[in-house]
Amino acid sequence: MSTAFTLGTSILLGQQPTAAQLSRGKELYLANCATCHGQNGDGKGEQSATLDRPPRSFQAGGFSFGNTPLALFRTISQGIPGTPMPSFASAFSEQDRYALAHYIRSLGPPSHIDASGSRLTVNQLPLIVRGKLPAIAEGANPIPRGLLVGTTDGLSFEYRVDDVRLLGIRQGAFVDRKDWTGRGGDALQPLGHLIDLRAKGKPKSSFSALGREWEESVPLQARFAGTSIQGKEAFLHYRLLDSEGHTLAEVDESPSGLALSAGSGYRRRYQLRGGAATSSILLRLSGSPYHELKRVQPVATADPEKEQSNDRWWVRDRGDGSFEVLVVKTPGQVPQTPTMPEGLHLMQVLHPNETVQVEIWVILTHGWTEDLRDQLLQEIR
Amino acid sequence: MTLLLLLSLLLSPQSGQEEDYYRVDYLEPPAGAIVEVGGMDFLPDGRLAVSTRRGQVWLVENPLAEDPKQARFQLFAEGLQEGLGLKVVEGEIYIVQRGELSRLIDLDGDGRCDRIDCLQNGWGLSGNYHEFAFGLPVDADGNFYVSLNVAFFSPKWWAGKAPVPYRGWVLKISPQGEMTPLAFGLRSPCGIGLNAEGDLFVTDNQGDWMPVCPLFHIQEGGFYGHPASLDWTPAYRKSLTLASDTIPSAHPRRPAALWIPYKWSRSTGNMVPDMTGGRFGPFDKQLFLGEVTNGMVLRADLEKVRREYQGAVWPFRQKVGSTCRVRFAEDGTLFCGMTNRGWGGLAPGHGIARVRWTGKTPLEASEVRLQQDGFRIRFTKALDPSSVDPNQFLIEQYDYDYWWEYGSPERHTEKVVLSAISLEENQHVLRLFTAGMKPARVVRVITPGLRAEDGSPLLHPEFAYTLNQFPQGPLTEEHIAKIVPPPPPRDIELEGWMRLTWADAMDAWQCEGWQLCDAEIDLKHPEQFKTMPGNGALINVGKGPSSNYQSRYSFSDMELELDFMLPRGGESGIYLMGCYEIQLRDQSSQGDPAASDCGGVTPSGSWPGRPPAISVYQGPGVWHSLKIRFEAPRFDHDGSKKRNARLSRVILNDTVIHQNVALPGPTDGAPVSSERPFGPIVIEGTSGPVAIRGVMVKPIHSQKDEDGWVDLFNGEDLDGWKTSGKANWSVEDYAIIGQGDMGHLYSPRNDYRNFEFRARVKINDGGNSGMYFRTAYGEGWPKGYEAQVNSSFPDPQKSGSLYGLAPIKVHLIPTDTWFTQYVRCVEEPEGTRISIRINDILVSEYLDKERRHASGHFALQQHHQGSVVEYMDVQVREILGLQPSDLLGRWTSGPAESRQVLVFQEDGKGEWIFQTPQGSSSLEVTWTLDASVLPARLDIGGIHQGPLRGMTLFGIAKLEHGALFLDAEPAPQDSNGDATRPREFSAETLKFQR
Repeated sequence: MSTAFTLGTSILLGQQPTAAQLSRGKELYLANCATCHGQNGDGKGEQSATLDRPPRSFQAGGFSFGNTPLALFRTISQGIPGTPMPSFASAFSEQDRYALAHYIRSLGPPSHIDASGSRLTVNQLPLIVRGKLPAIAEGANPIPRGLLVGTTDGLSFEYRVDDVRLLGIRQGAFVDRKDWTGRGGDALQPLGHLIDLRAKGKPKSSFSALGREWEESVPLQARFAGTSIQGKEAFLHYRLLDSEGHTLAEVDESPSGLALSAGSGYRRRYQLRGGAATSSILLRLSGSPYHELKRVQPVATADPEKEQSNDRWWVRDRGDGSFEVLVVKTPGQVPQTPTMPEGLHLMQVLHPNETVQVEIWVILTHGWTEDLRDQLLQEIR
Repeated sequence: MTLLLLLSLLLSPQSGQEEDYYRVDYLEPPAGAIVEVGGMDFLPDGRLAVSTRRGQVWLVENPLAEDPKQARFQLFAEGLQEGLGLKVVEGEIYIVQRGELSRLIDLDGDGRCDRIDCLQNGWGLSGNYHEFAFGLPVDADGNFYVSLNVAFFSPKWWAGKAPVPYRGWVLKISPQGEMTPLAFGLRSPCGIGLNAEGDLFVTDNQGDWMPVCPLFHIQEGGFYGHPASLDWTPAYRKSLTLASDTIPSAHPRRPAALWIPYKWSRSTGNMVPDMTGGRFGPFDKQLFLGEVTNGMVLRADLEKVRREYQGAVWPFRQKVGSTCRVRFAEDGTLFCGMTNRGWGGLAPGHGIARVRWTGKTPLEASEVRLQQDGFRIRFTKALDPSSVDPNQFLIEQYDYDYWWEYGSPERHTEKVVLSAISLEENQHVLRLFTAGMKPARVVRVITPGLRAEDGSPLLHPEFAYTLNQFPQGPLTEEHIAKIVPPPPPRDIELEGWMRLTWADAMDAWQCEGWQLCDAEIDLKHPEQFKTMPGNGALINVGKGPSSNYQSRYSFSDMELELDFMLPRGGESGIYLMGCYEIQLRDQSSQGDPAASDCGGVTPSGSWPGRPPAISVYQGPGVWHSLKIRFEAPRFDHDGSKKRNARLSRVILNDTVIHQNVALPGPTDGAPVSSERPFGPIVIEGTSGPVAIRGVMVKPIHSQKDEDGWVDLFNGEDLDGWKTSGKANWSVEDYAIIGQGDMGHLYSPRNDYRNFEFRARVKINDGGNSGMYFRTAYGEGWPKGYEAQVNSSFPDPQKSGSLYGLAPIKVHLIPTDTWFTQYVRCVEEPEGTRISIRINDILVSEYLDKERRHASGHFALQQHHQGSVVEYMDVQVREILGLQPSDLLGRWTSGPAESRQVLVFQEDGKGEWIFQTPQGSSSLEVTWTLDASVLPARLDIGGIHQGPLRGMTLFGIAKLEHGALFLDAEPAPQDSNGDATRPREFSAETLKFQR
């Protein structure tokens, strides 16, 4: 019911596939998917034994992120970060991925699509939903003033509005508006699987101002100013205030999914505009202190070509078979990335009214090999 | 019973007529869309923008189309966190979300919002479900106003708290987004708006500290009564203390412009002035208010008296739906936005209604102006003088309690004398001249029967005028919502306790010169108290000389608790059963305690009294707590005392000062000088000032008369019982549980006439039930007597009331607490005598001379949705002729020793008198009435036990179901056809057999 009234109802993805779609889907499936998922979708392909996580059996109706054609389309496009399931966004056209989604769906049992009255679905445009959020992890707090950004690639980004902090990223179905039941005021129920939990759901401030010494950096207060949808991108707008309430920068932040064949994840694109005076701003790249982790791979690339690009990257073993690759892109300049006790930062000098673009990518890969690294570096570029 | 009944009576006759003047239709949202309206305003192009509790904004094209189907809904925005207020400013839509004031912008002009600017989100959200934010009026300078609900959670779900900033406040937010906390003391301020003059008003919802739903005129810095918000005032923040949620704040309160009668509003929405220049009928610039629960629109006419708004309120258009938001269109259409999800209210519970004037002018009281001696009431049309019958008019005034309980019943209702009327200004104005109207009251004026010259009837013959102040004379400092005795602490075990000074500190007591106020010792004159408005103390320094403070109820064995405070040299005492005094006295001897010290027991003749075991008296000006466990004297069958009264234990300030003290007789100077099985509690009030508070009694019954009770309910199922109405009755753990909608549960038999009837009962907060007797089976409200069960439902008749006949106003029993309610109903020569006991204490006694109900079922009531009542041990003991409780004797001596008299009186009714023989010890009897006198046989068997004291018993002669009642038999006539004079019958006339 609710989906009937969300903005931008899907027009590309009808529920009933055509014979041509199914035939094309089967062709692609046998060529690309069956090695793991099996010829008939039973999850027992020839490669399946070599994987540390068994592939899904579509026959059993096991779909990680929902069984609607759109949900399958998104899983195929995005992959499942940190697992052997790669992204096929660059490999196949949109039409092919739709065809594949329909074919895979046909392998499973007759599907029941759960479209209860209070569930919201992201269709052709990102959808931003405000509301109370339940605690994202054990030990974290519920967020009375929360915000969920649902992107068209099937991810949702969970924010605390009061200080504009990203708590975690989910993949799959979007949200059940539990606040539409009862007396009102209940928490939303995000429906996606949590693929990245930021600092156990208690993230520190993303930005701080640099003092005379590294140690003197002072956290900046992020004050929420609103949201917008521009094109297919969702934006959060906020200002960074120093302890005296002066605006040091205005920030537009745009989160979205990121699908590479080497792995998939998400990206946060920032646009920073300087305030009245020049300031040095530190952007926390990761709540995790990379330098303290024993399993950290060598910092920066050995690829001389890559050095000519301004991008920097790090990789970290998450300890569960997945690796997290962090990429910083600052077009037009070489980023300064000091490592401080509280983690890894990007330092950005901002002049009055100057605008600077920064992109942070987080890619979750399944394992880490030289081949994978080379493939990734290709794709990052 | 039965506010609902009253409501339906008041509403139903008018509803058909309202439609003649104001018709209602409904827009049709797209199929499946639930539009739970929280805000409405018009875009410059005429589209209606609607925000909802689901966080959507709809744009409605053609909202004014004659055919409501022509109105088209389009979704403009979604994903917001509620939208309980919406305003269009310079073509832009502003909305107040739960946590943010936002501007919604359509950047690319495609009809969908794609940017949401946050203007302000600086108020707190703790996450509590009830932290709504309401809006959204804009003043002439472009400032927005937002009102914030308090959180509801502890200790009751509806108790207001302000865990984060500005809950319970009105905020002012400048066009640039700067926020100023403006006023505080609100609870659930669902409606916020401006009147025709641009003054800011807020409606609030009844609950704790809000007796009923008010309309407040908001002024900067004003405090409106709910204490939770005080925590965010600079003074409290600086002091690092929290405001009490049970003791009324000393912060000066601003008055309400309206207290809307409960029967008309239980959840008031927002309000809007009619600025349509007459397109909505003859109520130019008056306020129209949405009402969710009753699903209607109210109308208010305010005036300024002594520079403050006050005025009258009427029902305006009923049966609209759960109207939370009202908004006028320029063409005079009143749009009503509905929602009731989780709140309750008349269907429809969502969507948009339109109320439109048909062009026909109703006869209505359009304007009320308070005069020093009455009212000037202007009508929309000239009145037909022949329809004006002042004898039909009813004027009453009442006030409310201001406390933490949920809502307040109307209190101290009294009639106002209508001394004269006149018709003025070509019969357009009715002038009422009254006597005895008081300030700080709400005045209810009902003028039935009025018609206009054109014959149309007065559409709404009743209004309620909130009379804070009179136009002239001294300003009163009183409020309509008055400080009353505090309810007891919320966390103590209260089963079995009766609260004798709660809600109405005088209802359970006989006293003169006592008042309820705050008191402390006067430092300049420490032999006196200084009193201030408040509810902290009962004190005998009111107007005029003071009497003792004596309970209307009598007690036997009991636990008693109270607090007391004395001034310097203070002398008082508490008399148990009126007979045995414990000293309350500003005295504490050096060295060994004396019987005359505070806590000592007063001497009794040669008995020297008993000093307290330890001196723990703290001195003047200090509150002391006193806890007493007392056993009444025991008497033998012949009335002679078998055992002395005893103080089992007396605890002063948590220290035991007496244990097992036998009291040989009435203490010297006691107000009751003879010892009896029952007696009142008396606080001495004639020897100087004393302050007491919190008197609670728990009766203890060691002598129980348990013979002959019959279970009406088998403890397992409701076999044989029948129901009416829609209540849901179930049995769980040997209890009958009633919940759901209104309905009644009837006993299998319907021929109960003379009986004792009792049950253990527990009623929830806000619940209402009743134990009916002599009741006919049927749908609707039962026709029979009702012993009321109500602890906190806003009906002034509480548990212990014989409904409508003998009200009990004091809150004897807290909610959610088991108690025993007992009814005795017997025919007597003068009428039907009905007595009601709570926990075995007689609280109501009534002689129904009209004998309203002769016999019938017992029935249990479930009054309304939300009420939950539980009954256990539902039992009856029929009074078949003479009962042990009447005879109180075990008879063995011969019948000749007793004397029976059957007296036929001039009016034809008979009186049967039976006098027990003095000194008899026991008797086993079987009675047979002579068939020549009464054509039937009467047997009274069994052995009757109990004290025997030469008492006279009487009844009325009638035989029914084997019982002796002599009330209905005609007197025998003599040979001339005249009723016989009273005459005596000898013992032989009433024959009996051994």
